[in-house]
Amino acid sequence: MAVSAVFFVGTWYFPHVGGHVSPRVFPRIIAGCMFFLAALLTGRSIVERLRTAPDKAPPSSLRKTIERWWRIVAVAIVGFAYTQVLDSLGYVLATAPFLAAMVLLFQEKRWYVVTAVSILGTGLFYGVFRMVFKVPLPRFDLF
Amino acid sequence: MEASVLQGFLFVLDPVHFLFLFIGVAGGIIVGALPGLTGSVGIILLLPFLFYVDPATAMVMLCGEFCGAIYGGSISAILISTPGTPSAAATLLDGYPMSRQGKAGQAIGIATIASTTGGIISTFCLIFIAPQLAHFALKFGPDEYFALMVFGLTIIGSVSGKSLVKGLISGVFGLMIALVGLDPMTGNPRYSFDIPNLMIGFNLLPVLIGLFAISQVFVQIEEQAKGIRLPKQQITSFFPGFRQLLKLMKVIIPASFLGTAIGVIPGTGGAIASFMAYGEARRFSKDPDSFGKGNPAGVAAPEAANNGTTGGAMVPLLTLGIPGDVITAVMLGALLLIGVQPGPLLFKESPHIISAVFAGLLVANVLILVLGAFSVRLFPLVLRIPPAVLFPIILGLCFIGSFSLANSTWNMMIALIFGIIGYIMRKNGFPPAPVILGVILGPIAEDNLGRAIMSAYGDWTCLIQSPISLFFYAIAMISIVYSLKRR
Repeated sequence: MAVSAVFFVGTWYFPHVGGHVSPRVFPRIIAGCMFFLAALLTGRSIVERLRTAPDKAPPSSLRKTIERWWRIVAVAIVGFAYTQVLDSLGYVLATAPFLAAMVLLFQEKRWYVVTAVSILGTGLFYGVFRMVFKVPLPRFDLF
Repeated sequence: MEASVLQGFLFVLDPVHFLFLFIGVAGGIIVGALPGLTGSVGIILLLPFLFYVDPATAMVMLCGEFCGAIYGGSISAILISTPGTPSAAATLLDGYPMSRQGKAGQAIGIATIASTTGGIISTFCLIFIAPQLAHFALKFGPDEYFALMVFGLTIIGSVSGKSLVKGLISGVFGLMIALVGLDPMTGNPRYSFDIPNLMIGFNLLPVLIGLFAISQVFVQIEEQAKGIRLPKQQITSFFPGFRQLLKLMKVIIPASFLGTAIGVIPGTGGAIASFMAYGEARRFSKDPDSFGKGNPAGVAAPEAANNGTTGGAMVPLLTLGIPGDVITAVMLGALLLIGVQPGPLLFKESPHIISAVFAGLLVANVLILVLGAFSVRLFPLVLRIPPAVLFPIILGLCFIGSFSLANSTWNMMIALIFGIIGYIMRKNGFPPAPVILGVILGPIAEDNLGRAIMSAYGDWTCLIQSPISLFFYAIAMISIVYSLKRR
């Protein structure tokens, strides 16, 4: 509902243009639809929660929850870091550690698998994108 | 017609084009077979490569991927009781029991022959139906196109999964994403917050990559933490006996036509077709009790039907520019990215692409038979690719593919952000497929709405004056009611 409200308010800042269809029309219809659907979902969730008894299932252990979530957060952080350093470090220096980190996050502990995926993956993408498709991958001065 | 299909064959059988088709089919079989990767993810992983080939070759490759993925889903359904794609869910009912009886190879053989037959029959139907429908659709004006897009958006209901409201919210979220950028009529920026990269809106490729592929990597890393392991399977024989094959053809051929007919209806898709065909095969069987216990007809019927939807689903996609299911929705996005605007004009302006699609689909289905026969013993190995190797490579491909679009890390960031959004959506029961429908169909709907109103000098009633528009609004209503009743 908040998103639809922000979208609706945002239309006030669109310049008013004369003519039959203003740029505000379609966004307002969509914001209205989103608000209606979000309100419907909220209402249904409240009714369902009131009808059903509170969940008596034992809560999953904190350790397991943290173990599950830290990997997902770590993948997002490593991915974000990769997008930030790719231009400055260059393709090779950024991609090889990125792939190695991902393999480790997927719980692979054998060093030779981590190294092989990191090196072969970096080489594979370089071969396909740089050599075949001529994509100018970012370069560090030494590479 | 014959000349155009022949022209298509000459194009497809050119060694370079054939290689791309082969890669498409083989890649499709692999992604379809791997649980956690679907045909739509496979198409998205192909996208970064499609920019470097001509549109006709890209279309041929996409067709190969589509057919291969639908077939590939049956392999994991038969071998490990996990359908690689939703359309293979019915196949496991008898496929896995056959596998447990030591007939895994035979089950895959039946699935291969049924898929090939279904695909070829549906392609012939496509060749005969599509040009007629496209010729009719050439008469559409902007008001009728707007009505068609409204109908197209109602498909959200059928790809919504468990909750229709959540599916609709996903679809409207897609429409919101499409609003970012320049207004199509006046050129004024909307929701760009003075960020130069947002002035042109979100590029479709990183949005698709994020929502489907990167979010899937997040899901898989969670599955890894839960410790899911796949069982192992052995394969001995492949082709069924000639007599058994003849007997199965009595199931395969009607199921192929049923699949084609269901595929033509937007919003249905392979899963519905395969379950319907399975139900019909069981209903007409002399021994209905044997279904669910390893009856070969229980593998043949759903496989013929789900590959039958491939040609059927291409009918609305190619002629009207509206997708039939999730895979064709992603395919529509892929086509727009490579500069192909599906619709009746495609038949008029680029007949070589259409003939390449016709021939490509036929050859792709023959390739399924050949690849199925020669690589059946490799399938268990494919299923054993460790996720720790597969998913980092997929993530790397997603990032480099996003980068290659404009040689900018901005698109990588967008892909990552939409990956996180997609993961949160999946975890909370919001399906990502309707987002794509909103992103793709929204701008077309807005553009045609604006053109219709302008050409009618501001008279909004023009939207409900044409009989064709009224027809589309009526079937849109039917589609909504059907979605509601199905729940």
